[in-house]
Amino acid sequence: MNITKISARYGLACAVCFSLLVSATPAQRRPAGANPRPPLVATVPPATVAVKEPLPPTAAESTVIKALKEELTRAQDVLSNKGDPPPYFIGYQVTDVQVTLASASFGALRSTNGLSQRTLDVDVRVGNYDFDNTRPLRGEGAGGYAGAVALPVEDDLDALKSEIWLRTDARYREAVERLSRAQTNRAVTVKEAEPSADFSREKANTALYEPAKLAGDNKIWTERVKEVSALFKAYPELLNAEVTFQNEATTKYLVNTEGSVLQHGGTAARIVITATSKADDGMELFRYEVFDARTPDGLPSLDALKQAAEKIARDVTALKKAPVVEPYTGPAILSGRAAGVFFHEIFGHRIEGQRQKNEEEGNTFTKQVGQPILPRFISVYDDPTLAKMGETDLGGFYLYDDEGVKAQRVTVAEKGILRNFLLSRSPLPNFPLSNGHGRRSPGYSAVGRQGNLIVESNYTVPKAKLRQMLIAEARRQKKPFGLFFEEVSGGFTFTGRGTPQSFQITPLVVYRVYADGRPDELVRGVDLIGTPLTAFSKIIAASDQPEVFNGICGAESGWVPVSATSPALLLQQIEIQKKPKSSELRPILPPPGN
Amino acid sequence: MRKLLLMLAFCCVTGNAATIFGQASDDEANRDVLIRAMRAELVRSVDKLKLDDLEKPYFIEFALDDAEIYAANATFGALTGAGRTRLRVFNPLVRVGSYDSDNSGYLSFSAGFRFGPGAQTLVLDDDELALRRDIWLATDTAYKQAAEQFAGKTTFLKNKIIEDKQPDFVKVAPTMEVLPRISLQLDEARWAKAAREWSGLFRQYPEIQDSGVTFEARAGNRYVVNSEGTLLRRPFAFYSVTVQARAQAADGMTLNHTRTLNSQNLNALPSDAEIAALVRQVATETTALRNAPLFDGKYLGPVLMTGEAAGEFFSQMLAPNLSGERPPLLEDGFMVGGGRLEFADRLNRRVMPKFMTVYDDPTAKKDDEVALFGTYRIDDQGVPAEKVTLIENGLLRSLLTSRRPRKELPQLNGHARAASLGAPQPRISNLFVRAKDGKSLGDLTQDFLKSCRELELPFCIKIALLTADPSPNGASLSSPALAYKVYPDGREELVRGVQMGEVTLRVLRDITAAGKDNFTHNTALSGDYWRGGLPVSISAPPIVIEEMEMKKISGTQQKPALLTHPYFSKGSGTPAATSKQ
Repeated sequence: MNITKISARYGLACAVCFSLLVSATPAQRRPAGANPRPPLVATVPPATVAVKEPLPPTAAESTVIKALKEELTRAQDVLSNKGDPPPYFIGYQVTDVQVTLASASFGALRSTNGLSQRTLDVDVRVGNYDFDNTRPLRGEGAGGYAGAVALPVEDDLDALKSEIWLRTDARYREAVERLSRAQTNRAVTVKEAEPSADFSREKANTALYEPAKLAGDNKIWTERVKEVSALFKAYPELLNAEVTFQNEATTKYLVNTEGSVLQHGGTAARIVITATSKADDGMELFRYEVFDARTPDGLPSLDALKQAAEKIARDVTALKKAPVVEPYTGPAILSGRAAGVFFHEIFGHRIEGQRQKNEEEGNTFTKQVGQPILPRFISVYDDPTLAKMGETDLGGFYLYDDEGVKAQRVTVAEKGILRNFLLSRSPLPNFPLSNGHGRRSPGYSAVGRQGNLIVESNYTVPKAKLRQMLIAEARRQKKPFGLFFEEVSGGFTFTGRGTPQSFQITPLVVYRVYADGRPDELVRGVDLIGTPLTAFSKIIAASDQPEVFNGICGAESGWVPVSATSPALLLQQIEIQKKPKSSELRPILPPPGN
Repeated sequence: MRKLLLMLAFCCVTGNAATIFGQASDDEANRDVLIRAMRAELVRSVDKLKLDDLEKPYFIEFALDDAEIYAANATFGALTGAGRTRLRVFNPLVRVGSYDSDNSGYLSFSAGFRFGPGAQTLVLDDDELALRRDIWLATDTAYKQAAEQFAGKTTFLKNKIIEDKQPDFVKVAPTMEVLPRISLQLDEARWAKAAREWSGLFRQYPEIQDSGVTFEARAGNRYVVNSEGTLLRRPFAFYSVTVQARAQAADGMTLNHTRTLNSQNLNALPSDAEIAALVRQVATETTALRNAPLFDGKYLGPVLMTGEAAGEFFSQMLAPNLSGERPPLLEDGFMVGGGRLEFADRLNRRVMPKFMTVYDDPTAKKDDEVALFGTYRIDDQGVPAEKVTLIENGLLRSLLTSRRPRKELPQLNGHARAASLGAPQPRISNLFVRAKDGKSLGDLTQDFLKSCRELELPFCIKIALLTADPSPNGASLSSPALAYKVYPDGREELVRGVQMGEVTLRVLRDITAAGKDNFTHNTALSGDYWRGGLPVSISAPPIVIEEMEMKKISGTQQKPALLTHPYFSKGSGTPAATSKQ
């Protein structure tokens, strides 16, 4: 288990990446503790521009909520009387997703799809809050896929209920069987180091918002993606190039036996522009741009999209001619977006609550609360309640998590000191309550996940100054150049004990910044690699401009939308490796029409 | 290795790109942008596709399905999903080497599991240049993989002695068939409403736990263009209604029951009232199964298969064994699952009783009044379709062939069919199983009862429906969906939980009697979902098998649900009253 991954989102589903959830083999301990570097100069950070989204009024009870409530009451009545053992908790969540999608290549429509579906998750717990059927068994990770059930998309009370009851019955049986396995497992294995409860006691939440509705005219956007993609015809070096419009509305319905009744959701619109080519040595070249907005109205204008497409086409064409960089260690600047992904991987995934209590995990930070783990000028918090950062909509915005707990801002690290974890309802010693980070995609069990991860620095310098510092650091280390990572597509990290505690970031646009004043040079074929604790200690400085990376993050509870915001960071030392390259050559024939 | 490649590949270049389409360029074809785009890339690829050290391809074929799909799923009176999809699936097939020895027919760890190497979807607009771009990239990939496969195979052959040297690909004269294009014409709202209403009929059956009705419609056009000059454009259409139900018996056994109606013509689909009757039939049968006595113990004795069960029996036990394709060479240690080819060694030997004859006829259009599913004029490799007598008076006379021949079967009979991405393979089309002096069902049943009494069995087994197996392997039989104990006095009793014992190919010789009333089983074998699988028809009489083994279905049973269906227990949380049939 426990390889986690973030990537820029495009397409409807990411089922392919589930295979990356590999299981662990022999143990390997984490490296020695971090040694945060003191800031060079302390300055006052600029205020983060963050706006909270206004809350809509309360809506009437929907048919879905009515169906869930009625079946919940019935199940609770029957199972508490006849169940042996009876459940102490039953929770229902329905995820209603409506998606439309249109994509085009070189001026022609490639695909157009509409999807409307409702899925049901049923969580049944037997035992008690301290010890229940969800207790991880030795050798098993947290989370896991239980399977989601398709529900009618029409508001027919009887049809909805007829699916809910069957699933409840099946999940109750599974819970009873699982509890007995957990009890046996406890009896035959050594006592766990720090037993903590399996489920936190939370207050009930009630809020009914209007179901999310799809906005925008898909026909207009279909024409737009065709028009924008037609620009690629002018770039003969491109192989695949695509412009995709995706528009979705998600409504989540949740009821549980503790009294929570929630109906909330939101919309998301996005344009993804991708282009690929191949270098003469066979290396795959890839550039993309994603625009995220709450609704299609918030997406860039046609002209802006055309400019973005042209830039991507030019960038890929330039990459084809760029030199391949050799493995290197030395100083580098990560742009704000690259630094966001860097923090998401090396830090964000290690402060997820369930990783602190699972024996299979590296437990990098488990016992370091109150200890310095990052440079003293760095603070990190995760705030799902933020809808925007400046002008940018944040992908990890939500009001309630998938366990019905209100989303909360969590200060994870304050001036380098570890303060808290991202918690689902699976409590930790000294952290008995959830902080609203229990997330999942339908069919999975919720675990602590990131929402909007925000990295702040109270020592910042303007971008130009950061660049000067990079050059100075390169000279100091007697390196001919430093690297500037301008754009990344994502990354992944291993958090388990069985695999090296490592990460990899996949850069798309990297420049050599020469120490002798030569102009910057675009290079290709690098992956940024390293081990987390070493990497933290190498952060020297931060810029004064936060940048946002919106993406979709895959881990043991499925795929969830997230964002990562950070200023650009100067690292004293990074390590890069050569990107594995395809042995397949460029196409033999020129593109048709040329 | 390079030298060897050149040596084996020297004789492979045929034709000249400029003349390839001399005879096939009629107006109708040229009006079709898909044909124009494929031809343009085919000409260019045959002419110029070449890696420095390797040979040009000697044969290129493009297959393209331009398909539309509509599906509506409903349960208990409400839709769970409905929608329309359009897709163009393009599959380039590139052959490097020569007709005698090329890259095909060799499975290795590096190249073995590729399904249609360059298959991909094409843009949906009729934009010739954008279509050509997609075709260009897919063909490039396919060529490189073919060249790589050829190199691997050449190395492999260097160290092996192959006794039965046959060409890898038989050359044939080009064929042309350009039929009018069709598109999916459908009133979506009408079918969504129908699916919703049909699924709502289950509200009258309190013993059904879960149920669903699916309506699926697919229509489109399949294209094949190759460098020998063959051009095919044929429409396809497949419509189906699937009704599923699940119930739990009092002892906890879960019973799933499914029936499907297929048609290749929307207008030929049964009326709404008839489909509603089918839904009720599934509900009634599922309820009856739920309440039927459990089949306990074992059975070894004669079995009567009637109607659809006989057709499904031949589909599973006979059809997969009829392929006459030479099996591929396998890299050392490489294993292949799937169909056995035991029949290939049994030509002119007895494989069925003397009174039975089997033929496959792609040119047949009807069986009595029933339209057949497997009808075509030219197969998917451009070979004219022929009727083949496969088994004559019990003796195996021939097998179905593709352009990959085997020594015993040099004649092509036009049975290469594209079931899924990759090269077409020999498959049945319209399979006719016939018995000489077949009896009426009544007489057959009497004979069956007589042998039952002679064996002093307390009862015998009749199977009216087998669960469908869309990808049969010819080596096992699926469980009965509807099985009856037939008592010596003729009384029939439905039983549940019956499973087949081991069944081998010998079962075909164990057929002791057959009827004269043939049932046409119109179905689809597993294949590309956008075409609805591979449509086939099996016309077969009811049969009596001398001896089969049956046993109780294995596995533990769940306890009955504590919760009961909310619709049938309104006002109370306790189980509904017993059945009201």
